[in-house]
Amino acid sequence: MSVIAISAWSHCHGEEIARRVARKLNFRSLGPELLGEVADRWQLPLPKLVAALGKQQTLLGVTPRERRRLLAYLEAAVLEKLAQDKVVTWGLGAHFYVMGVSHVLKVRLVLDWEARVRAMMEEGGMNEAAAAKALKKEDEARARMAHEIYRKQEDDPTLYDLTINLMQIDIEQAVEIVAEAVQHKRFKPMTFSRKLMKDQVLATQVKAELFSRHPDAQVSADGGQVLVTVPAVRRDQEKKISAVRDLARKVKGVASLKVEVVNDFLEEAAESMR
Amino acid sequence: MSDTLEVLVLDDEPIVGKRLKPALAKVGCAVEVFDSPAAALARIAEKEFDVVVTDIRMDEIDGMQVLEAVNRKSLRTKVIMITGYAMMSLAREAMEKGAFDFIAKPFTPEDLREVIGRAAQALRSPAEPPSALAG
Amino acid sequence: MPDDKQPAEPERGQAATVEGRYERIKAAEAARQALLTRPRFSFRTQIFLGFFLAFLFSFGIATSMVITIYLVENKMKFLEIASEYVTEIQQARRFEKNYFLYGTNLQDALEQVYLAKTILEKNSDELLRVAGDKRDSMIIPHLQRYEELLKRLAALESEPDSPRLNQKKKEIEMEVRQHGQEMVSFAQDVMTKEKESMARMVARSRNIHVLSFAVASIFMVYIAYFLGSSLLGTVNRFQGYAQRIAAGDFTPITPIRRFRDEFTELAITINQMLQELEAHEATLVQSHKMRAVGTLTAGVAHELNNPLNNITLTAHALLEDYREMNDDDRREMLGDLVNEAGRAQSIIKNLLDFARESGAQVEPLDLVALLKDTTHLAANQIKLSGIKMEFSATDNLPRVHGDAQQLQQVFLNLILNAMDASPKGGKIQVLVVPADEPNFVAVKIIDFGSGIPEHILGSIFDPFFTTKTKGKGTGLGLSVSQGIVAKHGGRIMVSSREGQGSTFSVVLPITTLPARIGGNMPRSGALS
Ligand SMILES: Nc1ncnc2c1ncn2[C@@H]1O[C@H](COP(=O)(O)OP(=O)(O)OP(=O)(O)O)[C@@H](O)[C@H]1O
Ligand SMILES: [Mg+2]
Repeated sequence: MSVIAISAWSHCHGEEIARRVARKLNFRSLGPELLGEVADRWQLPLPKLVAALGKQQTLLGVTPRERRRLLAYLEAAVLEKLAQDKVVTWGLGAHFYVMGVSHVLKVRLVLDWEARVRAMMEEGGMNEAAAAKALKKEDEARARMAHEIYRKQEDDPTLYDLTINLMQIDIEQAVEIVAEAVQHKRFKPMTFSRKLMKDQVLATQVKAELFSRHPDAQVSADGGQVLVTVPAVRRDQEKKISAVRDLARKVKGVASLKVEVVNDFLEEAAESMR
Repeated sequence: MSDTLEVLVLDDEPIVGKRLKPALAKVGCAVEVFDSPAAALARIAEKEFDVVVTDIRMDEIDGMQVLEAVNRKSLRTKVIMITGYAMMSLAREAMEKGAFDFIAKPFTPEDLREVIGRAAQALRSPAEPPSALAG
Repeated sequence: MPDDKQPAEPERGQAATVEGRYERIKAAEAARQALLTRPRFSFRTQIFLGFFLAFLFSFGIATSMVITIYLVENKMKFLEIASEYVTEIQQARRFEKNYFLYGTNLQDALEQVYLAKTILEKNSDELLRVAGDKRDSMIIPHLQRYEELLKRLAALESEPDSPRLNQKKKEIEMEVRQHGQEMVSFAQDVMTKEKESMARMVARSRNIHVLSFAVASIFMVYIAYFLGSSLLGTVNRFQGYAQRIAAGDFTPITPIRRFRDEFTELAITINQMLQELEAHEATLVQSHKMRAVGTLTAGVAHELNNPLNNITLTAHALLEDYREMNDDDRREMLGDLVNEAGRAQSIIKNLLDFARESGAQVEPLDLVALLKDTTHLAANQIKLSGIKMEFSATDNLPRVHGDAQQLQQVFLNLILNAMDASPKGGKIQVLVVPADEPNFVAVKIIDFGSGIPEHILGSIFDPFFTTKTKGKGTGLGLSVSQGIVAKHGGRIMVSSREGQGSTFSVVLPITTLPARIGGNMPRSGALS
């Protein structure tokens, strides 16, 4: 069966709707609780992982590089679960990295600002000004993340299959609409979309595996054939290729592996200056 | 696979038919090959196939029309779409119109045999809705 | 950049590009030299010179006026003196007459003579100037003689018993009368002469003033006209440059006049600006081309999947059944592999050829072949959007002179525009035919799509004018195309009916009228 990815700003009933849709369809719900698992699996600091998604701020914040690293692991973990089908995912940014997969129904929930501020006030017990301020800060952090990592505007409706305005449609009905929509034949998995998903899983896993040593590696996969592109200075290229090979081979499902090196002009220039 | 599966393969690239015919015959399919959509449609009108494999992007008549023609003829027939122009919207359209599966080119003969195997399975247990890849 | 993909080819492209740039820099430098080596005759100098001449002229007039006035003044003074003198003499003569007639006192006459003498003495210099040597030869001797005679008469009077008194008196009387007469007539004579000369002088000075006023006006008008027309002419000329630059002709400005002036610096600056503009334009054209390539790659990538699929299926068939096959089958399959690989290559080659940075290589081109390539390039993309393309051409058309890549870019832009305007199931016609005017060939790209509303028809060639959404159109397609076609000495024309479709016609001169690409050489029209 299909997968549902729900995207919403905070305090837009994303979690509630996701859980209820999952219950209704007998799907698994995949939300931020996965973060703990991810942190354990790769020994990552959980608060930073949360911050990397643009959700809560840590004291020192996350550098772009760190964010890419944390998200590489997260993507690998999320996609692994999504490939198992019958999942409703929310709060993990999945809608960004399953964009082209036809059996993922991408839903955007919208709620107007005042309602969100009220929800925030109730939840945090703050006054209106503080709630609005906190909410604004959060939205901005997330928008920055979306642009920095995925070059996308999260609230662009053309990214989604379905957008539901919760000011006009109540939660009950929204759950129904989503559950119904996913039954359409067009969201059924097929060899093509299945393959895309599998390749995506593979690529993110290789990427996560490589990240600590080769953060600049770009990975793509096609039918189990993995292509890794890494920058390297000319004389280190052989070494780099074999290092990447050794790491990437460890990942299950890699049928064949091709490593391409592009000349690292910057590094070369920097070296020649030394 | 005891009884033979009646398969029609349509692609305006003649090599596709030439290679798929023996590849599918191996697993006990009776394959008819066409590289002209018009001729294939005429044949579909005559005979109810178990499986139709069709390219989407062809001149004159496209694969979607073939899919519709097959559906008109018999809802039992499983249609497998193969295309070099695989895009999310096209794939979804094909599924919505009742395609059994959608495969992007390039694919291997084994890939197709696998899908046809699943189609055969679905044909044998028609009670279940053809949820191709369930489970 | 295709460099890393096709190592041999790009070098040619690169070299040509470098050469093209070098040519352009050389042309600009030549223009600069030509502009600078002329002798300098600046507008500042011209204006200064004009005013200086005008000043000299009026200074001359003023001087002559002052002199004339001075002269007239002198004459008047002299006439005053002369008339005083004449009055004294006449008075003396009256006394003298009385003496002779009634024997009155001679002393009064002598008194008057004495006065006249003082007048003469006081003004002897002036008298000299006016009367010349007559002063010493006539006036003064007459007066002295007259005085002497009067004195003698007076002496005679003082001794009344002298013999022959009466006779002596008679003799003196004669002489006195003669001298007195002459003195008066002479003085009057001088006075008339002076009066006449003064009248002449006044008349002459009036004439001079009238004349010099006329001359001054003519001179001023001439200077104003000369400066004005050369200034205005130059300004107009530069306006012409601006227009042709705006139309995309980046030929450097070359000298027209024999002298260098302030506008020379302007021309040099404009030439520098042109060089930069051209470099920028080249980048713009290239980046727009890469965008078009981006649009096409979707179609091309998909098209590539067909030969790839054929190769995959064939290779797997060989792998699976190699042993059971006979030689002929194997040979056939290997042949298929080779053919399909070639097909894949040709699909990419076309696109890569087009994507490569243009080096402005001008050569005689077969437009029909060029358009076949172009339509082929766009064919997949067009098929993808479910649009039919029809191509037809007149046989044996003459060649045009141009840069294949750039013209291909123009036609591709027009075809992509037509594609965007056409509905699914629509049709695009591409025609290559002789143009209405002789020596031109026309390429017509006709669509039956949305058409262009009347009110925006005037702006579609403007840079950045687009009706498409942000990701879809930059609005540079037509502007870039127009620039390229203008450089080829051609034109793009459009006719459109809203809701019925549009026809874009590109007319290009055939090889007998070679156009210059890259804007290195002056175009005949631009600099005359
Ligand atoms: N064949 C046509 N039919 C209808 N409108 C057209 C056609 N060609 C051009 N236009 C109009 O002229 C505008 C400008 O075209 P132009 O090619 O300069 O830019 P664009 O197509 O919008 O952007 P780009 O070429 O960068 O994709 C278009 O946005 C469109 O409105
Ligand atoms: Mg355009």
